Amino acid sequence: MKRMKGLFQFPVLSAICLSIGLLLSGMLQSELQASEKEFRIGVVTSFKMECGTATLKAAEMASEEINAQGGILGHQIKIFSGNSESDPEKGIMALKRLVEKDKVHVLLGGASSGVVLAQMDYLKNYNIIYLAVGPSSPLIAKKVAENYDKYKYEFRPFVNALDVCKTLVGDELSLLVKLGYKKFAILAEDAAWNRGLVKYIEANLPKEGGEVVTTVGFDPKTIDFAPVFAKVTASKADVAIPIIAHSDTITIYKQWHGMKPPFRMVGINNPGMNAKYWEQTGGACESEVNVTWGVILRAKITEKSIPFFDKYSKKYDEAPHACGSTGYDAVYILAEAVERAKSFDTGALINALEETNYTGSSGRFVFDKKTHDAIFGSIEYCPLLVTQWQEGGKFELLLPKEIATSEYQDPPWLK
Amino acid sequence: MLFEILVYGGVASAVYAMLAIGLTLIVGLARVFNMAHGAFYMLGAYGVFTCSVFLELPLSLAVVVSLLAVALIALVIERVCLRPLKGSLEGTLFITLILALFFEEIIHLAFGPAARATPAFLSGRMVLGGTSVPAQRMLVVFVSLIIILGLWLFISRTKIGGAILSVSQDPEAASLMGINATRMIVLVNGIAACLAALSGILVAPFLSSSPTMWVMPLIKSFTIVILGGLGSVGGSILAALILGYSETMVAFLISPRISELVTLIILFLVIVLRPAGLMGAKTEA
Repeated sequence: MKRMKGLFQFPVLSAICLSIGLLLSGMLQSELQASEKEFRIGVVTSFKMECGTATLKAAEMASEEINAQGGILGHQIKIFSGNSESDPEKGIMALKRLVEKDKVHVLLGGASSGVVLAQMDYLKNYNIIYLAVGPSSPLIAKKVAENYDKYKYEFRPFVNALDVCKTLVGDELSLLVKLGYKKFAILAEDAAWNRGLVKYIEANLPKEGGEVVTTVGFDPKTIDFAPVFAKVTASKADVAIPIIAHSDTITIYKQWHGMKPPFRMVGINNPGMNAKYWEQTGGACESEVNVTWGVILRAKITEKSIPFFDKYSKKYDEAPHACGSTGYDAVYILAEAVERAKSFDTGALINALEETNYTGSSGRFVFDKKTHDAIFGSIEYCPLLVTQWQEGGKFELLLPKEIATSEYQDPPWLK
Repeated sequence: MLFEILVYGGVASAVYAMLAIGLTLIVGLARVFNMAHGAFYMLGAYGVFTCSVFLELPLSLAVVVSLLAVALIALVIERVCLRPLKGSLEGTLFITLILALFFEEIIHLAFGPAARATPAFLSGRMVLGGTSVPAQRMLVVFVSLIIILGLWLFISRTKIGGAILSVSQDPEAASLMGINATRMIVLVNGIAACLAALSGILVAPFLSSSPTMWVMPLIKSFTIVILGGLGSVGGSILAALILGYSETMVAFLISPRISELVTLIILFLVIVLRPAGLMGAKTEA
């Protein structure tokens, strides 16, 4: 008998090793089978921003609901998360970890435009779809339109800043012009994001019958706005148009309310797009008019809006952020696309997403085939909302008229 | 516009004076550049916010509690951190800077990064020379004037005040005269912290409170102390007026964007042209 070589010289030991090997491969097989029955969504966003945390909460809520109804094509949704910390490099690292280590099937989130623009360059290599919730830069849409083959993986069920411009001037400011207030002063923080917006207002407000009498810029780190308000008062403007996202808006409104100058505040106040703003400002935001989107107040944008608002508020003990309802809708958009495609294949999903016609809590989502942006700014699709804080802390909807809950009110000292 | 500059410049100067007087006393007496001075300003503001909003104490009681708490913190810092490092300029600079950053982190963890709204002591406005000024801002001016006057009387007319001056001029001679220098340093630290905290308390209703709110007041305090002359209370008041009105004039007449540059330009010019400050002794080669 030939001498057995290697491990087989030791029959008992080799039997044990073989058994362990078979056991491990069985376990591995089970693991593969288990993960194959999961549809993994990677929420990659900035948890430094309220948008980011709201997106994750909403995604988890949506996935729980879908899983309770049997999942997507028999697969249970599992949520994984990665924190970009609003930094492009960290956003890329988080994306890579979600794809390579957690083996997610799709990505959702973003929050910051700068981060998403950087992450988009990795989608083709990973052959993975990304639903961007939070970033509003027009550059995202431009990238998809100009290089479809590379960037077709990105879809944005969220607002494009250009849509905001149109609603700001055509609806929000136009409302004040119709009420007889013709002179406007732009109050813009010094930031790259709003330069185009300021130029847009200066060029288009006259077409609505308004006049820009002055533009006052200020450093986002400003804490005393008395000189800023003095300039607006000196210009004899009826309305100041704040275009602010990074400044301390609580201080701005507290000082405006304390000084009681002869002008209204009607514009874009990004930090003010939340239902807690009355409490945060101690009521100093009374009569502030803002542009926002999504279900941030209890208004019937669609049949799903109020049930979503109530459920989210109860579950998380707070009203949803704009990224909350759009994040929630994004998961359902994905699920619905998979059901139509009857496949998880990326190519099939891209085609299915391009044919999306889904009514969620924030509106009816239809993606533009060239830019992959959802259509925002119209009651027929996803409307942009003109809101106002009114006496007693009531957060009211002024426009669109079809779903309005109140009419415009002047500041108490100007009534 | 001119009357607005007069009023708002006065408000800024009043706050700066209260911040700087405390610091100049510490610098003059203990030869310590306390980088945590701005943190007392922040802690005062958050103290009142916590007491009035969360504990629902009446505002006046919230102020007293906040001042006492900040004074206690300052005294503990003096005993535990500054006294052991007496004589070491670098040591006290670093330890107080670390403390300031520590307090910022604590506030950030406890309250989050968003600005907080503190209730105003006075609502309504006063119309002065055709200019509408919130009553809260005028309160800052009145309280500051009373506090500064009271402090001047205390320093110049009381025995303890005299002892403080003696120690600041010549600690050894004061010690030989039987004055306990350590006790005077402790007292001045408490007074300085209370002045800084009171500044924060008075402005918080219209400037809001945030974890990073201590940085600019610290820079401005140091600028005023250097401009006025180290250890000179009169110099600090004069310097506060110069800085407050310069910033306000630039903000109103040129642009609010560049008003913060005024502090840095003044600091640069003082260090280059007159390092001893306006009312400090001239340095001779």
